[in-house]
Amino acid sequence: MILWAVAIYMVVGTLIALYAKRGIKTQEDYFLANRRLGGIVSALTYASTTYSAFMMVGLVGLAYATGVGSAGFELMYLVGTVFLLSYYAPKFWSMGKEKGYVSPVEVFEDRYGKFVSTLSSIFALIALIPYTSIQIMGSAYLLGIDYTLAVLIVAFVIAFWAFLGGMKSVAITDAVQGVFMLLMAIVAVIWTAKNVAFGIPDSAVFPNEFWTPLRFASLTLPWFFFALTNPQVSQRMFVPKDDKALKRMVILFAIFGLIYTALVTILGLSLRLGTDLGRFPLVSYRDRVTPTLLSMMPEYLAIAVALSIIMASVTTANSIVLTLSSMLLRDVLKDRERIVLGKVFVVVLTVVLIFFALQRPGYIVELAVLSSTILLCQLPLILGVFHFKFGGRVTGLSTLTAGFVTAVVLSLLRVPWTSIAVFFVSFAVFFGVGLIERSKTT
Amino acid sequence: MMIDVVVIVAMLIPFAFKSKLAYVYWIVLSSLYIAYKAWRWKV
Repeated sequence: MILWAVAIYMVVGTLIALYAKRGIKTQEDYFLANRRLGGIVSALTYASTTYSAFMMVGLVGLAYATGVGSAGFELMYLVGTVFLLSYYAPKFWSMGKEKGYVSPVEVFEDRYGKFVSTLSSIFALIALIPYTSIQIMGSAYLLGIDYTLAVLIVAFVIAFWAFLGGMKSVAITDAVQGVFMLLMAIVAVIWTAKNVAFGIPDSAVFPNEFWTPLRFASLTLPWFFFALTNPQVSQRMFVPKDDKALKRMVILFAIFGLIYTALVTILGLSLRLGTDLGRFPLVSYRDRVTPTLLSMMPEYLAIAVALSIIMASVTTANSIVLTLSSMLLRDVLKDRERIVLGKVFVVVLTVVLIFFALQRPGYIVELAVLSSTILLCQLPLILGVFHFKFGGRVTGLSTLTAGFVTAVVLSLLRVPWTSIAVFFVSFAVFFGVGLIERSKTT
Repeated sequence: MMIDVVVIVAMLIPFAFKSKLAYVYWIVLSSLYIAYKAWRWKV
């Protein structure tokens, strides 16, 4: 039955993509929907790209296992994003329009040089490919069929709509799927309230043994700056058609994020209350909480909720594939004209994702967790574009390299404060090398 | 900018109280912040 649901989903999405593919002539059309998206579609594609399967699987489990601190962690991300977007989105948007930026790291090119935008794109590839593979793996498991076939089906859905219609296709399909994701989260909470429990258990206090100040800071820091450092969302600052659409994108995304976070976390907390009351089995591996809930629901409801989780994965993954394709094309190959190569990269990146997903190695999970921490090394360079006059090519290259090496080495050593170290090392190198570079050039 | 910094710092206040009501506090504070941005933010 779930395969029928997926088949209908694929047909509807493909019809939307076929509609969206008309009139694509330039890379701006393909990668940015010609900077002509309205506020509502922009908001929904921003939300669908941001909120992956992590919400309905990872965050439900985190709330179940660790209590209300999970809501604080996720809402800290939301407040940070609204804060950063309200200050930087208008700057990115007008800069993109004025200078014709398509890939988000083109912002670096004029200031720090071509090598920096190329290196930044390569680090983004390293950070985001394992993360995106996880999205495919999670969806493939949910389909409950032969794993290889499931990976191929999910990868096809991810690539095909982006291949056909680029950003316009991804944005419209994201918008439809975003609404479905929200509706299914509401349905899951209502069903749980009626059949299991509703509320916050007494054990779910904050702070607790899990939510120490160090862990909260370490987990929150990469997410707080996610809107600036993750290219698949920062590229979305270029797409609204005017300043009103830009404001509507930020505010409607914030409202979506608030409701979705509240629903997902109360779902996890209610299931824990259900366990305490003996109405929901004790689940010790937290990523199994949502699958356990699905196994208790009527089949039609479980399929609808599972489909919403697959949609959350697809909307995140196809946006990443499209953004990485634009970065490969414009920042690595320096091709600013041809669309066909962008489409080729969508296919090539998807094949790489399939390869990773089929391997199912353990380290892929660790690399995926590391993705936002790696991307944190770009933060000083982004802030440098807007706030600091010093720093050029050497500063850019050394900041990215120092931050990247710190992220990889400390995470291999399993240091719990890796993101905090990446943050401070990146800024220290940016200021140190930047000031030396300025004194040498003056 | 001042309001933004105050809200971000205020998000950390639940560290001072061991309570499950932190959940309600965070949702109310985030809602008020979004409402404030919708009202005052000029692009």
